[in-house]
Amino acid sequence: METKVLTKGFELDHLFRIGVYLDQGGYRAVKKALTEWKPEQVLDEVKKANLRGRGGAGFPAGLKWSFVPQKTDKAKYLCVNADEGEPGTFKDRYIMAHDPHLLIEGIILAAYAVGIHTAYIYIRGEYELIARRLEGAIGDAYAKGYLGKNILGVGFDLDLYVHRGAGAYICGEETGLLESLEGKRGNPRLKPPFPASVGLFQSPTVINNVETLANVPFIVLNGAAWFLERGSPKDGGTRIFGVSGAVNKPGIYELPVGTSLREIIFDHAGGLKPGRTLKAVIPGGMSSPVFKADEVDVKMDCDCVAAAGSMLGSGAIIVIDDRTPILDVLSKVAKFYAHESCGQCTPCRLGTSWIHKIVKRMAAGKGRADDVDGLIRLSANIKGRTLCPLGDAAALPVLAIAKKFKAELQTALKGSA
Amino acid sequence: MKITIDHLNVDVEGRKSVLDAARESGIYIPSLCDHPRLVPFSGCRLCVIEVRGRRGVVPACGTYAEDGMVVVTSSPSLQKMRLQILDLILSEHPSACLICREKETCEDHKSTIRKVGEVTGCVLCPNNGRCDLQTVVEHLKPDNLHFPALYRDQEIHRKDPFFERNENLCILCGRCVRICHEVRGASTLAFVNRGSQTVIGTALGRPLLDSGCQFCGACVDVCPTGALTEKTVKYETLPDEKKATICGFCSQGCELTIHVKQGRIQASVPAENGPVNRGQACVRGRFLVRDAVHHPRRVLKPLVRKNGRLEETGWDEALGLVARRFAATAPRDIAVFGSAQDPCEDLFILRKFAREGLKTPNLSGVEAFSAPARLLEAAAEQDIAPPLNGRISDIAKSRVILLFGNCPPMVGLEIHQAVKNGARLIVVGGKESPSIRCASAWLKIPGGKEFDLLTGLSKILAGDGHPQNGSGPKGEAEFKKHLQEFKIADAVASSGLPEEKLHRLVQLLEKRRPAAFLFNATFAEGPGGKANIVALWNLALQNQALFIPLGLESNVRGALEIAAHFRDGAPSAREIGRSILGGAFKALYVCGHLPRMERSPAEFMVVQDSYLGDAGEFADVILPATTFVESEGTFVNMEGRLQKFSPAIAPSGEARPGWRIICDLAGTMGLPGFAYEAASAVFEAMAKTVPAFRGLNGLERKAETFVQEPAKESRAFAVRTPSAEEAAPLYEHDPDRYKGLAMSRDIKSLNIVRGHK
Ligand SMILES: Cc1cc2nc3c(=O)[nH]c(=O)nc-3n(C[C@H](O)[C@H](O)[C@H](O)COP(=O)(O)O)c2cc1C
Ligand code: SF4
Ligand code: SF4
Ligand code: FES
Repeated sequence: METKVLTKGFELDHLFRIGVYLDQGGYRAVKKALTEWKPEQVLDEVKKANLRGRGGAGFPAGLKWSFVPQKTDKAKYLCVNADEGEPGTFKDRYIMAHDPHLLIEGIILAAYAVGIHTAYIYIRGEYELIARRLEGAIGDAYAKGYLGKNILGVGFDLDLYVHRGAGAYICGEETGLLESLEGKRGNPRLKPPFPASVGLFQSPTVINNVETLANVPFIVLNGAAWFLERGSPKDGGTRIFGVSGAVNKPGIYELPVGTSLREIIFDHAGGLKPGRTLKAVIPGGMSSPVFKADEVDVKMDCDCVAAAGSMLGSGAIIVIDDRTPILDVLSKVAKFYAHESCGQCTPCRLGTSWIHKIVKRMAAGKGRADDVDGLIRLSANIKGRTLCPLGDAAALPVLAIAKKFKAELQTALKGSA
Repeated sequence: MKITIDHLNVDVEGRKSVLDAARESGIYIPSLCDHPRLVPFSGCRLCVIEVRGRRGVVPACGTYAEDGMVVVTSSPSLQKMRLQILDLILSEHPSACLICREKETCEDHKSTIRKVGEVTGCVLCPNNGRCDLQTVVEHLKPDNLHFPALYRDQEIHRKDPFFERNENLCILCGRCVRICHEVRGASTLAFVNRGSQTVIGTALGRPLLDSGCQFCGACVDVCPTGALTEKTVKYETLPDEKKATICGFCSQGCELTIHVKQGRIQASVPAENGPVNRGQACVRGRFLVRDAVHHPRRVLKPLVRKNGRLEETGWDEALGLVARRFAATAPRDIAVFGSAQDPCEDLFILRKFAREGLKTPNLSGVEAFSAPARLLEAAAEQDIAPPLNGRISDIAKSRVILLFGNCPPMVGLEIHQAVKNGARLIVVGGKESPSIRCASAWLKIPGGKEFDLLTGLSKILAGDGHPQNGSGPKGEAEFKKHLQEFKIADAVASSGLPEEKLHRLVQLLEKRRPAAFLFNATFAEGPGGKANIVALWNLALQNQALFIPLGLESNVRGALEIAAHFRDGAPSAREIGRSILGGAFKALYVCGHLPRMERSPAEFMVVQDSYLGDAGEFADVILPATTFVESEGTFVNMEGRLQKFSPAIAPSGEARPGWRIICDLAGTMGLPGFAYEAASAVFEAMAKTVPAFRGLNGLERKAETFVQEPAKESRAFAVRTPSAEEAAPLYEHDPDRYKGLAMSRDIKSLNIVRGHK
């Protein structure tokens, strides 16, 4: 079975041009849904397809959409999370750069399903060229009548805007994103209330990752059964895994959800460089707890990875070989979260900062005997106590590295003493 | 609804956080970032609790009570969690003293070390003894701190007036940022940087003076630590006592708590549950009471002019002189000019003295030149009875607000609240002010030209429909006839607004109800003033808008009610005021501020004031009066709210309360009927005679007491042509004036704030 769905057209030149996209059968899903289906049908099909969020939390998209009240006197919004801030993650950029109309189509379908007339793409600030490309594509879609008033003459309106971020990881967190989009400092919001009821501008809001939405046109065209066939029963479709680190062929690989991690690393990404062996893998972006070399026989779907003690996250696989000291990895992790904590809540602001201080001193050869235990204690004190999930995202990888590689870290400490 | 907090069954009314519910039932949950007036922030994480059926822990401050909820606020694991969080907080807060073994004996040895530049521990901190962080530490009792204390080494911001910002003590609870944004609408303070680099700062690190700061001190009052401290209090220890008073600086009547130290005012802080201000004040009430009351310009002994110079003397000599001169002057040659910043008791006695003692009909006062006075004048001509007891808090419920001129600060806060809730504010005229920032439009129409604009709006609002007989308010038919004759072109010409904009304004009024119309003295004064009022009244009637005249001085409303009672055939107070300036009288008794004059307005002028102000230039006698902080009395605020206050400190020097000075003078003159023992006795007499006060009890401070309004049908259009009027307003009201003290000139810090552009 052909596994490539989302990335299938990537080899084509100029797929980002609407003419090419239409030649390839583009906007057929929108035509089908808008002219033949009621919004509820789109929602139902996506629900049945068990499309799980590709942004990090793996929440079922259909279920999320169904939380938005149908009847409300407020406007409803769709925010597309294109912040792609999770270290190791580089998949959304491919979709947006190569196939922006696929995303736009997904957006139109989601908006149609939920009854939304305004959508925003919140894109990572560094993706300047991609943002321009998106804007061009949006302009073309307006010109062809796929966006704007009375789309395809069925009386459905949708406006779509691109908003560029300014370089904060926290603005990828959905409520931080909303604050930022409202023009405020990107601090996360207290939940509940959840965005589905009180989101952008205090109105019901859906927030989805780019890849999540890019799947929707295929579900509409081919049906939920087709989609489920391509993945796991409770986690349908394919995923774009981004493999980086010590492999021979780093890059993106679109594979069925549930493909084994070992297969991805050793078959698709070409295995490790000659003479090196696998030491550890971060399976779903930097925030996910690390797997040791003997833990890679795990099926890459949300539930299996969770059962194995980590998370599928954004599907960003970071491969670490035996030549990389785990302290180096820890340093990167510690530095990143100390730098990206928004500073609103105590455990994360000060916890990440102390973790970073301790790791820095370890790396400088000035570690103390109880530093590893200190790291474990500190990260355990962050976990579950913070305002937003960034705290957990910072604590869990440190906790996992400190526990699973305690011996190596202790040796590093002794070596320095 | 019912919830269970630690096995205690608690009844909760309305939407309330678990933290608030616990507080109300006397259960203490450690908390630092929460504040009752603010939206939950849930940043400090000290208030973590367990809720049955929910995973992990949740913050009590950001979790709302739901019927049947079962929460645990205190358990060994929660306490441990809190200790770990506190440990982190203290790792960035100078905490040497918290674990010092000599903590107990320190008090005896630290007499001078407080005056250090950098705070390294509690005993050196201005917040010592009033610190929320100390309270949390006392409750959680950490026996050890697991992190070395880090000093952030941030420069202390000392250059702005009134208070300092020391980020080294800040715990980033964000209360200051939130009160500044949510309640004050200033958004001066903000979080700057992120993560552990986060600090509280201003845009681009500019001084507060450049950052839209109102210098209301709200941030200082909510700061749980010593990070934000009032400069004058910084080197002082806790106050000896705290006394409640009502601010005498403006017509809103904020309740203040006066911190008294060794008989002097240490600070004045807005009362948390003040009915008008609910914990808020403005720069004057928050920072200037101390400076104003203990100002070097205070008159501490009676002054009498001898050989052209004012010299100190005793009360007997001063009163004797005044008594002799008044006795030798014909009643019609004497005039009295009252203040609207004195309590009702003073105002009542002054007028009683003038009419019954001096037997002169020549009474005037500052209140006669206020917006509500102008409204009453217009109302009398039109035979309408506008309601005067409009509530400030109702403004927040409006969906569209028309503000003519500037408004007092608490009114401004309510307007900001309304705008936050989605209301639109249109400001017409006035100067740059905090309210402008939340206005949808600021129409700078030339003063006195509002009439045409308003009538134009009325015309559009009324449409072409013919009046329905009998259904509308009285005078509707005639009013509509007026409107038919009116030309929109005139409204366009005099307002300078295109016709389309007028239509949009009307749409706003039609779509958004209720509306509130507020106007100040500038709108109401001058040749077009009365016409303005009439036009605004009619528009308010058409639109069922809240209609509030904005008086400025603390007792304008009380003064108007008392003056009305003593009017009885006398000439109008406005005419008398002008005549006084024109030099029409031989002897004057002046309490209120008169505009600056070129030469003495009378042969003999007595000034009763707390300050040696501009009037001192020509005064022959100055009688020193107490300030509101030193006296007992009542003010009636702009809502008609009667508020009693008691002295917080003893009078400065030989100053006496206004009512007593006059009673003493009357006694010296041998006049009967002025033998009052106390302010309360004066109030009783007033409550027997002045209709608005009838039956009220000034002694008990009941939660809500309002002076009475004439119970007259108020729904009638004003259709008569307003009477002709004086050319120019008598003077411009200065919100920063307290009696003879021009605070923006005489108090340096305010001078800096007001002078800063
Ligand atoms: C700290 C943090 C950063 C995040 N960054 C991103 C991001 O860059 N892109 C993204 O799609 N989701 C990100 N997420 C996840 C979002 O909060 C959210 O769950 C997601 O956008 C929902 O879309 P989905 O359900 O389609 O995955 C982040 C979450 C956290 C806690
Ligand atoms: S866990 Fe707290 S400090 Fe960290 S990013 Fe979230 S809100 Fe900000
Ligand atoms: S300055 Fe005070 S109120 Fe503001 S964040 Fe710091 S501790 Fe909190
Ligand atoms: S008081 Fe609840 S988190 Fe600070």
